[in-house]
Amino acid sequence: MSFDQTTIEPLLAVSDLSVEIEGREGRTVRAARGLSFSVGKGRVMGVIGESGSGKSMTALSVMRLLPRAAKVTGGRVMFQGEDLLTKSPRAMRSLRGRAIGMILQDPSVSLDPLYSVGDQIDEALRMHARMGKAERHARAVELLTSVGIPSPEDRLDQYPHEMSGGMLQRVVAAIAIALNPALLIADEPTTALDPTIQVQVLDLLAGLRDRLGISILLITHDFGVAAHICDDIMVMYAGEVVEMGPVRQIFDRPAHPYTRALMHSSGAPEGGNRLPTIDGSPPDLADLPPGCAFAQRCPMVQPRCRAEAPPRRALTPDHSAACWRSEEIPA
Amino acid sequence: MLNYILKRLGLAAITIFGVLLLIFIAARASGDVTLLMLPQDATDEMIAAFRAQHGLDQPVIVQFWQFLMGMLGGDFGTSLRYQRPAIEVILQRLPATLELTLSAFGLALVLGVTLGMLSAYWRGSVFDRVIRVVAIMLQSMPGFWLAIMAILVFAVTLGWLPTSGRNGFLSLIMPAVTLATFPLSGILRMTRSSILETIESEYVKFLRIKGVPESTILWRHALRNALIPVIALCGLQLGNLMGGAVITETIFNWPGLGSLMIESFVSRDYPVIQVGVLFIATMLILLNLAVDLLFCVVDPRIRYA
Repeated sequence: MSFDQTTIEPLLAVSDLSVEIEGREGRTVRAARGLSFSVGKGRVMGVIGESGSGKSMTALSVMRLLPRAAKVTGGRVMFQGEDLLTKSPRAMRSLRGRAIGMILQDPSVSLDPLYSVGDQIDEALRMHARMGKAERHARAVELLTSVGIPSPEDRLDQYPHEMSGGMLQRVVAAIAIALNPALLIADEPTTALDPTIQVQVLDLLAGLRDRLGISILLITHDFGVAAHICDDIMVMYAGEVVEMGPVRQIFDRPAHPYTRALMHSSGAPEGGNRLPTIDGSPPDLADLPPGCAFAQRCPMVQPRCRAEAPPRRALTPDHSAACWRSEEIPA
Repeated sequence: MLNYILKRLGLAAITIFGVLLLIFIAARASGDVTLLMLPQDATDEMIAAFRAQHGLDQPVIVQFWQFLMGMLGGDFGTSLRYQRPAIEVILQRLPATLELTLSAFGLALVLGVTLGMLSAYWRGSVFDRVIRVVAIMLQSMPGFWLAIMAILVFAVTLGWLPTSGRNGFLSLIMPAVTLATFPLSGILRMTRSSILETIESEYVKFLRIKGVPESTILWRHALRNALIPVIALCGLQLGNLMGGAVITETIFNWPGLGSLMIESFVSRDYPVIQVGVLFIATMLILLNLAVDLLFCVVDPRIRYA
């Protein structure tokens, strides 16, 4: 059933999205290059990649909240059947926080320090819903309860500095889901938290998906995080999707050398004291080499890779990768 | 909270005592008032009589003790120059100083915050660049020089404003504006950079994610956060303002506390100097306490115990 929805009518369908950032001295950084992916209803899509691979820029493009220097230069972002890129700023603002919610990386700086937590939940409700004061208060209590905050009535009057990081991320999540959005974007929502709290926040997100049927776009650099709650993952490298598919298939059989290297570099070190790393660094996005962007770091590189960029091709109906040698990659 | 206020007031009493002791000794160290007050051909007997009459024949420490005891009984001494109670002389000059400093401070605050905000809002624009250059220029100009230039241009050459004195609104303009320039440019620059920092913050990003309109973000969130360092700066500027008032009042012949202090120092009118300094020190200490308490109102993270 859910599979049909994914293929027939995805909630979010991004096609051929390109984002450029005006750098210094006329350098143009190509943060996203022809990205295509979709998120089905009630599915959790993980976006994985190193820093600077374009994960956050992709999320901010969907929200239409790119920094001043960045702009979308092409593509479409279809959400509930409408292209978000052609919407007026006003229409877009009414969508934000109502139909699409978002959680940021560091909860300790996500809330205005001068207003109480209750006030900041209330602000979202005031902004988007026609509710009376008492109704909004009841909804705020209900929201805090649903994100697992004990004694919510007392918490409403507290200020952000009076709460722990884990609690704050729950409050941020409560604000993000306040208006029952169809899509929740979570940009590294656990990176700034302690490991034990990380698991709790991931379980919270999984719970929201199960109970409310929210689709989640989860940005992370950590395969462990993705494995915990994602249905599908897309691996990004240098502004492109290099591999995409159901999480189990990718884990069992990675079809891109970068995915494999990334998988082996997350998690606990095996045997030795050093974390395995990927040699080299990502290419300069303002001056990309011809051919495959990963070629200079790839252990399986061939002359063809440096000359000709591999297109993303399907290996199974829902697993695709952009590598000339996908079939030869060891698990 | 009450404990905190009481503690601060206790500290204030100690500070004021120290200030009084310092000014008491410094005033007497600046020279002998007797020779200034009496005619040049005064006899030794006349000098001795004058000193005895005003207690100046006693050791300084005894004089200080008598001064403190007198104050406790409500006697702040008699002005040597005016032959009236020193407190009366001070109180008579106080309204003029309050009028000048409050106008200057109000002007600096309102213009500084407004222009700083607009400058941040239109960052990089021509308006922003002009404002920033002018702010730096105004902050670098000495107040006395600016005052003299203003008199030359607006009073002497153009004849629009009176050169000096306190005679209605027109006469207030030049002293208030010149006194305001220094704190104004400071407040402006602080507001601008503080707002720029605020609107780049993660919580403003999250407000946009919530769908909050830009105007609400600016007025309700960015400005309130940005004003915290501006309030701190204002507390510091109050002291500068009093110092500036002394110079401005003297240049514009403004009959306030500042010019009275200069006159009293020149004529070595010890009692007036002492009471004047007591007044100014107390005012500054109370204003600074008020600023610190204002932080509590604006920022929930600050709680005094």
